[in-house]
Amino acid sequence: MKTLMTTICAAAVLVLGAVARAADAPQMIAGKPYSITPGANGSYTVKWGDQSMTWQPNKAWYYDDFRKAGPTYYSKWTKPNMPFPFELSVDERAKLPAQELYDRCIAWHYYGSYYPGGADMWNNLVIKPDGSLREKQYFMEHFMAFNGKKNQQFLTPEEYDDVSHKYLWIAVEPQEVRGQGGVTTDYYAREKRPSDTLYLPTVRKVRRLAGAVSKQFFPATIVRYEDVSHVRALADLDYKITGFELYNPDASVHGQGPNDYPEIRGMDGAGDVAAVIEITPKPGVSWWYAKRKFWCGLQTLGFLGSEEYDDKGAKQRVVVHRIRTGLDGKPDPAPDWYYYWGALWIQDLKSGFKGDMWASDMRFEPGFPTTIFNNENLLREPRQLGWWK
Amino acid sequence: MKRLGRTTWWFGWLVLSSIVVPWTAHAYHLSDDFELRAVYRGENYFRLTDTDRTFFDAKRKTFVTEPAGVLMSQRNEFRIDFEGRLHTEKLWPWLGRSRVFVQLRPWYDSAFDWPEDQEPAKHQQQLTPFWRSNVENGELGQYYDPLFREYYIDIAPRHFFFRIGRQIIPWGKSDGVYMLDVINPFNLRNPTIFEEENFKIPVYAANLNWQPTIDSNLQVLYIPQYFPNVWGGINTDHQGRSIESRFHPWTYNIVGFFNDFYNGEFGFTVPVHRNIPEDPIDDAIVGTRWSSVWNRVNYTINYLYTWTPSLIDFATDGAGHDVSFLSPMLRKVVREPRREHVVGGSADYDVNMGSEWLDGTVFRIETAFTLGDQYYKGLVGNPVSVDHWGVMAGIDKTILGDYLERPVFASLQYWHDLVFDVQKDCLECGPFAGKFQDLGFEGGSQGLRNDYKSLLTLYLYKTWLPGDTLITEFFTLYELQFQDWWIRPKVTYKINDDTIVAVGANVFAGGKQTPYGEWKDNTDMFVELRRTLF
Repeated sequence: MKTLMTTICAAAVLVLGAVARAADAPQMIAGKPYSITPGANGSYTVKWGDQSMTWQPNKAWYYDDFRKAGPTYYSKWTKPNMPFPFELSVDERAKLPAQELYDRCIAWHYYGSYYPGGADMWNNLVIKPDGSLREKQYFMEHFMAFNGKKNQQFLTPEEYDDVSHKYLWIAVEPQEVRGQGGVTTDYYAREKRPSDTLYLPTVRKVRRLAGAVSKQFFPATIVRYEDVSHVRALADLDYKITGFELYNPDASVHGQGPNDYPEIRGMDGAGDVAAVIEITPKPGVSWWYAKRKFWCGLQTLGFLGSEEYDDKGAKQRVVVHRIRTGLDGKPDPAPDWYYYWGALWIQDLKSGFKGDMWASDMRFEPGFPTTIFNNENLLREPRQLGWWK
Repeated sequence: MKRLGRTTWWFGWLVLSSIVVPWTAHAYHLSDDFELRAVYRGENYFRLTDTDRTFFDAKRKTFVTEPAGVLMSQRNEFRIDFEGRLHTEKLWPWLGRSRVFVQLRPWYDSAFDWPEDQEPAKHQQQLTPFWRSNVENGELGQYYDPLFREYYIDIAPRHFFFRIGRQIIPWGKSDGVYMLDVINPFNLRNPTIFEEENFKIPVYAANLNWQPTIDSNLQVLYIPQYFPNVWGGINTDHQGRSIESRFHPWTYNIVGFFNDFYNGEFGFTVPVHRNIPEDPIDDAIVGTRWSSVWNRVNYTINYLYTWTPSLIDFATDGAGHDVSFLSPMLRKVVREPRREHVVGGSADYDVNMGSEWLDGTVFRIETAFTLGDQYYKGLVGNPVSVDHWGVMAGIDKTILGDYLERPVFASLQYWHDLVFDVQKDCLECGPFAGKFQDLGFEGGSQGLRNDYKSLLTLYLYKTWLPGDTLITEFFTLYELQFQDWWIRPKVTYKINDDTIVAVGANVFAGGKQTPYGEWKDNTDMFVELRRTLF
């Protein structure tokens, strides 16, 4: 708690108040002038180069502070002296290699590279094409990043320079999968694929999971390991930045609608300038998509959304990511610039199924014991967050 | 239908209403810290062969042949879990939060009420005390497949974890072959069941764990009470009579053979007296296990001082002296376990070296030296103390990932058991003293195994449809020396989050005295239903 309070104070100094002002926003992004001008009824006009958009405070699920500040809110992630992955200026971020920018927008974003681990409940719904609920699962998630030699006490000496982050999941509902769990270990070296274990309560044994599983479906969901725990740039894929655009999400897309899950508060990145990263399988690699477009906000460094296409160029999946922050920290609030993975809305356009998922009961700095990622813990079949206390 | 028992109807009504009522199942939270859950589980096994069984009838003093029947099992089970968190950290912060867990599993197998061709149901009188229910009187229901199945308290000071109570403790990295994983005995009421939590008998244990480093664990076990494996046909009445004969559908040949023997096949009956170790100190089972990671290899080192998992039959003259099974002095069989040591280890490793072909392949190995085990010398020789070495080597890989949206998980295992030391001064070793009587032994040399025995297993698993709601599995086992087979396809469909149905089959092939070929007449199909109630 002492660490948390220190961080909160530091954060408060950093952001100098809850609501950012237009003057705080960067003047230039990716080599082009960027401006935010207040408009009528709480709207803002955002211009970047020759592109412009009108930001409207019309989404029921916006954070209140974000609704007031509009896109100027994003500037809190552009201040000097921010920790990794925000330590670079917006211009420097735009010049990063695609793989590194991708990592910063998702892996280091999901895994809280600036706090000593986090835990949450992953709520996962599988929705049938007719809109009815097909499946519903709840998973406990526990995660930690080790970049910059942080949190080394959670690693063995042989892992110090090798392991980038760890992830422990345990299914809580439904009864059929209750107690299933696994540990993912990811590595700095891109040629190393993440390794996974899987615990099955029916046999009560922890097994290595045969991979490489990044492109496979995460158990009982319509998302892939690539979307959940294998979230660094993968060795099987090529990444390149194809351009930048003023991000203006389509409100007709599931998850972007003004009233789509209003209780899941967050931000959409509208009005940020996004790098568009194109991801393709390396020659000779068979992957579930032929091309993926991935939008990464340069101010927020947030994963904003993605689209996946098949080899005929047909769109086969759309993903919307809702950025969520320390404001959701329960039971302990965290600084409002802290990120966690937040919420995802996935449309599988081929099957018509949707995957709606979000985190709840988010716990920043949950006081993990150093043995939290020990596979033996899975045999205990924990049922509720806080089991490590 | 009138002949069905009242209890069967009661269970049937309960099951039907549980399934038909379209409620949404949620755990019942008594408070933030206490919850209650309930699941119904039904399994029905139907024999697909039109076959007979022959047994020696102790009353008529002759062999009798009768139809084996179609309905093998119709088990209806409720699983009720109670779980509570105890805020012991408020009393002693160093102790951390504790947890209590109680699982009740009342079950009723109505197959034992179902009349095939007789009234009352065939051999109901002999079988129901052991196999029909655990809410009636009966040793099996009390101890081996009990109503209160698991109950324990978890105490977890930082870096420690203690589970005290009745529980299942898994060891090893094998699927379906058991060398290290012999802490919990098996209820072999149906040896084709895959889910270990459904056939392992929970034991009373102090399961003490210390995590001295972040990826290691030292486990120490103390198990004060010995439970043996339970087999169809192994139970006796209070007079030591082997009244189950071969009536249970899954009576191994070797059990049925000796039951015929004891029931008077050779002109005299032999009573069986069970002798179970009971001293919680001197007769306790103790073990330790170290698990850790070295160069990305997950490994364990295990030691267990235990008893033979099954009770062993020792022929005596009734005055405490060992005799041969073939001796005219044979008066009584003492059925008891013997002490043994199990020493071994296990390891797994996933290749992650940047190779397209090898990456993602998991290699597993498990090995154990079992010292002081008891094998029956062939033919109808006495049990002798043997030391044997088991090895399981397995390869797991996800295959066809380039061609299938949901690829196939494949697991191939090789297992062998090698007897490397045999008691030299065995009494009446039998005419085939270099061999041992295996599970399919029926009095012929085809049922004997050599020092070396091995088998292969292949398991394939594939999911279908969004959300993995359709699951297909295929398992096969082949014994290299006995040349017998077990093939098990299964399809599972998740109707919704709370209701799951499965259909499958067990197909057996091989010689009638081989460990799996002996079940040829038990080739079956099964239907399972699971419904979460709350």
